Amino acid sequence: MSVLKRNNVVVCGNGSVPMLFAHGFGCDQHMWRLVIPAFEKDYKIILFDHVGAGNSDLKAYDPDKYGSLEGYADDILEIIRELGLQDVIFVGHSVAAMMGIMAARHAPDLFSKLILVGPSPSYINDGNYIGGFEKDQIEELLESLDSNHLGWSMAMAPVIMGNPGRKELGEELANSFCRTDPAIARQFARTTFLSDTRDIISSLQTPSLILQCADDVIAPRVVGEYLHAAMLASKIVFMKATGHCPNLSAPEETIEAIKAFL
Amino acid sequence: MADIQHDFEDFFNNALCGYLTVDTNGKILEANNRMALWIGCTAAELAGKRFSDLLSTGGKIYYETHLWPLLRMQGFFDEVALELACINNERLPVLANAYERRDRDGRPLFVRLTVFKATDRRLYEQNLRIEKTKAETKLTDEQTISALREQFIAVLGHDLRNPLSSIIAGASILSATAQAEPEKKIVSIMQNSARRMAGMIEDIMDFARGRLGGGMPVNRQPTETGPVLLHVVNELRSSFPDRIIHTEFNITEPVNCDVPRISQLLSNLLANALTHGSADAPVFVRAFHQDGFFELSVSNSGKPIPLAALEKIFHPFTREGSQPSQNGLGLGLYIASQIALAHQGELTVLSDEQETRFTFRMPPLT
Repeated sequence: MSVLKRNNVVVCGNGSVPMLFAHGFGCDQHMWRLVIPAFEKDYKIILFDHVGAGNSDLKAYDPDKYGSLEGYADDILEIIRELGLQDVIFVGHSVAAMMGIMAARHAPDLFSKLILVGPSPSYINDGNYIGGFEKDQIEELLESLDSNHLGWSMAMAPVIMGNPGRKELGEELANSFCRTDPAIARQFARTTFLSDTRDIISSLQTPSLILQCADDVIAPRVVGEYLHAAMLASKIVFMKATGHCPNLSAPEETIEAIKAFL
Repeated sequence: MADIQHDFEDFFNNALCGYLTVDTNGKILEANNRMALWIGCTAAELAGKRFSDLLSTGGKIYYETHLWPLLRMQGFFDEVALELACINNERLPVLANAYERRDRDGRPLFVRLTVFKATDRRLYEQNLRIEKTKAETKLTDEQTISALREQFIAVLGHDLRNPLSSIIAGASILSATAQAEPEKKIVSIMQNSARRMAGMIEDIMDFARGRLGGGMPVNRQPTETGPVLLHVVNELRSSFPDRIIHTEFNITEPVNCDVPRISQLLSNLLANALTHGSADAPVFVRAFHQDGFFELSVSNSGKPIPLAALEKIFHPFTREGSQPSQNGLGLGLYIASQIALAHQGELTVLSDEQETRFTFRMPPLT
């Protein structure tokens, strides 16, 4: 299985400077569809799905490897090397921002800039550090994922609709954008929300942009400020956009902030 | 009264589901009283909050990372299981549906959500999940026990063979030296019993081998099968001297098979026919070779096998009725069918008022 097939890598755009877009927990490369058109003319765009998401090869999912963010960061480096890319502009959303930081620490020569959308080095409050969630809240999340009551209908639909004579009904029910295998999504959530990468961020030399949304319950403003203070080569933009996905809810503002940084 | 009946505001607020309108930033513009009642505040207090603020941590993250993106991309989501986080710290299981209203140019205007109470349904789902987990655990346990049991059978059968061979050897020495009539008779009975026991142990070993090793091992060689089959028939003729066994063989070329196993298959079928078939009618053994297929059948007359027994006839430990019998362990037909399978063939049975016929049919070796 080639790396490109494993991660469902899609390359487009007319430019030569590579921009690699990494999606976060919850969706797949479709997350970038409102942002991509603004960069297609001037950049070479690389999109991919993390193993377990979208059209990636589910068989390649190894719980040990992907039990830590390093496993995902290794995949990003493999994609870059496979395509022979240099001076990559990395754009990572949510937990993929931290994967990008890890990859850039391992191979600083391959990256020219990092753009971090809604990043967080740790989601759990710890002493003076405010991550946004108490430990027991994250435990409640993991428990609810284990008991599988979130997205229950999505996970069950294929079973209930597994009637060959009613195929079209099943197809209509299954959403075509945020396809995730429920068992893998559960483990990805565990990997994501128990991750703590605070100790590695200060050594990062790559120039970085932090895009911080308003009212983001997953990566609140204090987290963005913490990262900005810890990362010497970073800039931070406080966006008007609210929520955790400005790439979807405010694509124009997101594009503008990225272009200004580049 | 007629006014309340047609009062839309009353309908909106007191409907049995929660209604919300949320702006493009995810903030609640309007919610009905039912929604507020569930949360434990007033509808006015809900306005201005994010919808995800009303959810448990899991739901909050799920909403922000999955559902909101889904709304922006496909414009709706249906029947999503969430939990409301109520003011009194209770969790209320709900099902949420939503769609994004867009203008002519496809720009989002607002989102409407409908929320249904799903306490009973969640309970039902939890019970289903618990039952599923229980059933899976039980199955795994049973499989483990069953494998142990079969290993036990294999070990037992194997270990019984040595003491039994010393009994057979001893009885053979005794039969050579016994002088008086009563001793001779007793030794002969002992030898017969020991032989029967050895046969049963072989069957048990075959059963365990088939179960543990994933099928019965066979060593197929091109063989002139006519004389081999006739030898088996003659053996049974001497065991059943009063019975007539007709043979019709038409085998023109060598058959690719495991000789001891095919002999065992015929021996089992024939012994079965002689034991269960009508005592005053002949038993037929037919074998022929056609278009590469080898077919061997044994038929007898007598009472047809009842339908219920027919369905389980090739299962192990199947005996006439459920009483222990003199005829062995009930493994004969099971082993015969395993031999057929190991030859990529099949063993079938037909039983009616005219005859009961077991047929082994084997395709050419590919």
